[in-house]
Amino acid sequence: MKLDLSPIASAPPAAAKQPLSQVASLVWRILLATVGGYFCTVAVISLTARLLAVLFDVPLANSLLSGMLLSFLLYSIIIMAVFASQRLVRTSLWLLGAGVVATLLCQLPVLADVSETVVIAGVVFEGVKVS
Amino acid sequence: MKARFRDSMNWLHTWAGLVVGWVLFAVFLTGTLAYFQHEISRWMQPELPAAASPEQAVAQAQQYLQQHAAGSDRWTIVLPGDRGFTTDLFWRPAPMAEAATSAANSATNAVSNKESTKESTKEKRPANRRFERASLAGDGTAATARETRGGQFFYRFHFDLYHLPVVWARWIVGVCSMLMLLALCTGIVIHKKIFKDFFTLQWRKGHKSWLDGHTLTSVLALPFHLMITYTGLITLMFMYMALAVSANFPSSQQFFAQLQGDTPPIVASGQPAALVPLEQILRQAQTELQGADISLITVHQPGDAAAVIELREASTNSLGSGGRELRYSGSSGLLLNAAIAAPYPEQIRHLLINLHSGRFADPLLRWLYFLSGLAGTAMIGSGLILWSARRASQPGAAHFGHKLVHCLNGGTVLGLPLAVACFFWANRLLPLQWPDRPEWEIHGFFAGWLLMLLFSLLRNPKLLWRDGLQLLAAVYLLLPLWNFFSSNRHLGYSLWHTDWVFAGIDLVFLVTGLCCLQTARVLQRRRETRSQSAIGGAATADLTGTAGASTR
Repeated sequence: MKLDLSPIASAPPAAAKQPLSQVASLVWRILLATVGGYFCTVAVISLTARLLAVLFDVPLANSLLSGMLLSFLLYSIIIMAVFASQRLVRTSLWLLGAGVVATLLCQLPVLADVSETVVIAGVVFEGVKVS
Repeated sequence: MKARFRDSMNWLHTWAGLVVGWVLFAVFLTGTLAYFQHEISRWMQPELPAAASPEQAVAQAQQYLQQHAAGSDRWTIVLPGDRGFTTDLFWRPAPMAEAATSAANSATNAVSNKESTKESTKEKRPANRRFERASLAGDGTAATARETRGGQFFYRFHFDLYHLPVVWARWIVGVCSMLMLLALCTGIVIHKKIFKDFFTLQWRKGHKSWLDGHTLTSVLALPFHLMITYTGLITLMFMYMALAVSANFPSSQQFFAQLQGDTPPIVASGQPAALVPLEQILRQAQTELQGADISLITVHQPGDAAAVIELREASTNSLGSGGRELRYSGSSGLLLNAAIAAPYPEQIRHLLINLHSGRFADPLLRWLYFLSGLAGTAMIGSGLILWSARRASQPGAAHFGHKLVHCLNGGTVLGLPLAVACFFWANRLLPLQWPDRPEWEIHGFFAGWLLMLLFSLLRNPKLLWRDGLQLLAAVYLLLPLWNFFSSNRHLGYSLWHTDWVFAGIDLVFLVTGLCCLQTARVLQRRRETRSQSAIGGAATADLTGTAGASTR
């Protein structure tokens, strides 16, 4: 058991003082991992899907579906990272920050107006405006 | 969380596994049984004659529907396929067609994206069904076999549960699956010597043996466990990740339209026109799809000039098959659309769902699926027992939580097999004309489960497993025997006629019963040796477990 994968092994555990603060920290950690992780996952795959749609000129639905197929993988990695974290506050800021930034970036005019003419299965969609 | 990465993951593995283990056990066991759902249905309806060929089945269905469902605006025909034994028909007598889609969907078991979102908003229970249904036997008449949900009950239960609104149930199963995925990933992380431990199995060492049993069943079928959990989440992805769609599209219809193409609704013209023979359309469609099998035929506005016949490809041919749709005009028989391949991500999604449902599997692969599923069930069961066994000898063993886990473990790990057996017993024991027969078979299932829960609550914890296993052994060993007396398709007959569906199921009962009996005897022997030398018990109370016991 020599191998220690945690990035900051010497740091003191985030909550080792009071039982109550320990419980609160655990509850926050679980909420952050499940709820925060879910929203962050959705934000990240939305942003990626829009970027791919703009850069490679594919229909947004296709790139979004690709993202969704990988979403559970991303979600589990986020949850594991949150539970492995030594500094809960910093991890919270990173995770929520990433989620908010991704959501805001999706609102950029370039990405918000992913509109195009799509021809699939013989049906033409003229300028499907997606906001 | 903990000072070391592996300890955090160990914590997560233990608790993620424990809180949902019981639901997962039920989901895994019934899901595993669902790989043989057609065979189970067959066993539960021994009166049925052999199935018809697709062409015959379609012709019979058309004849039956024209007689019995002339005014309907939509017919749905589910073909028997290679493994089914009846042609199932659905139609709405009144001109209201919303629920028919979900009815058809539940019938084909195809988790198709458009429907699954609609379907998830609707509760489907036999009582709420507002469509008519009929099953045709191979000779084209309505099947007169005993009424039963058959193997489909297991299939539905493994994601819809029962006695719960479908949407809730699917969310519960989804959350459990997500935690299962986490437990698998963390399990791989904490198990550093994944292959080395294989050669140092420790039999008869108390909780260490449980740990090894847990590791063995996990590692042997690890790719399967990862695959089945992930693809299980994918099958209901549009429900679990609905936020991703609604965050990017004004409505889910637009998303699906972009993905699969939108088809205009079919409106009746009011001019009557004879429907072309469906048999002929089936042949045309099979030629169009290079000989692929058709699983589902939907006729919109039959008898109208604007009628449309929709055929969906079965996913039984190969891993990548299935999902293509063809539309023909119902009055002229002309092809209305070309079978264009779906976009790549959609194809991958189909492939992943096919991988999960295994409809393409030939008998050998199907057995592998089944055995891997059993290994997964055993992995969950042994993990749950390990949690208890490891804590049984520790100071806090009398804690309420420990007792609760012990009871639920017994009530689930022993209770589910008993419930399944009771389901089969109810099928053979209930009188054939019993009112609401299918429902009573399911009552039998839950009665068995409840019985074992009560038993594990009341029985001395040290004797629970031995007695429970003895009960299971008796129940499973007597099933083929009772089948011998109660139907003419007993083991002797089916072996003589090499009818592997019936013989296989009876033999599986026998093997299950023998395994339970043997395990009960091992437990009994261990009890005896342990009472002879009380030191043995202390030796197994070795608290420093191999994978780190700091999991409380």
